[in-house]
Amino acid sequence: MPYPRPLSPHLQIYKPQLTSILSIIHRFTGIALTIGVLVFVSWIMAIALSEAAFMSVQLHFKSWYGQISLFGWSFCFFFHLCNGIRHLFWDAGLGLDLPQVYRSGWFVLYGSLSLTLGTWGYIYLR
Amino acid sequence: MIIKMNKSPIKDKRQSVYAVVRNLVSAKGETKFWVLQRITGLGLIPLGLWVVTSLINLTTSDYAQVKQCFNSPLVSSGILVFIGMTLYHAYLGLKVIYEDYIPHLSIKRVVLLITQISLLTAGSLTLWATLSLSLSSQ
Repeated sequence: MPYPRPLSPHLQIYKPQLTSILSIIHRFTGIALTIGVLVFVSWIMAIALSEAAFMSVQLHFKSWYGQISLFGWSFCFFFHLCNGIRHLFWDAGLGLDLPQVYRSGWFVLYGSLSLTLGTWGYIYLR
Repeated sequence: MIIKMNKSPIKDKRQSVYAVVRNLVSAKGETKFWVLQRITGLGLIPLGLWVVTSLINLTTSDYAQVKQCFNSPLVSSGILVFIGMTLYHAYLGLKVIYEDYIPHLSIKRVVLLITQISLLTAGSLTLWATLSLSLSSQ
């Protein structure tokens, strides 16, 4: 990046739409998942270090803030996964008509929400 | 179209337009990163699902059971590939976000450098952890 590139116009001039909101969520979930993978790495490190380290990490995951964070990360994962697949279809030139974009957008949103709730239902109710 | 430009990319009036555009990067080399972002994304669909379903199934396991998983070389190398692909995918994604939203060039460079160091550290720590787990369980 030797010279400054032109930047996007200011975000506030846009009216919120499903397409732009999902695009923003895709980026935010990507950032959250990057932090999540760093936490996952520290979990693996704790396993390699000792049982005591593992237990203290597990204690954080089992706390209320740990459970809320894990819930958030699971939504981020399912959303980024579903919307990522949507992006791959677009890259292949498929589903680019506006009605199709909206249909796949709602599908991604409801799909990732149900996968998240299903996962946590399975964890708590099994 | 509104284009916000902090500084004109043209520093020297004698530069040709081609020289300026070429220095903005992207015309050629950056396509490779766009493709790699998609390839890692595609690979992370099965790998991510495998890791997340395994984690869900491990929620009721104790230390010995969790450690047991890493005895399998397939699991250890799978985790290593998963982490490697994830970190690279994350790096490419974050780089695009920085390019879009950090206007100041030197801040952009510093943030990118911090990102590279953090992700590389995470990668090497994963390598160390998986190696020590598979070597200790002989």
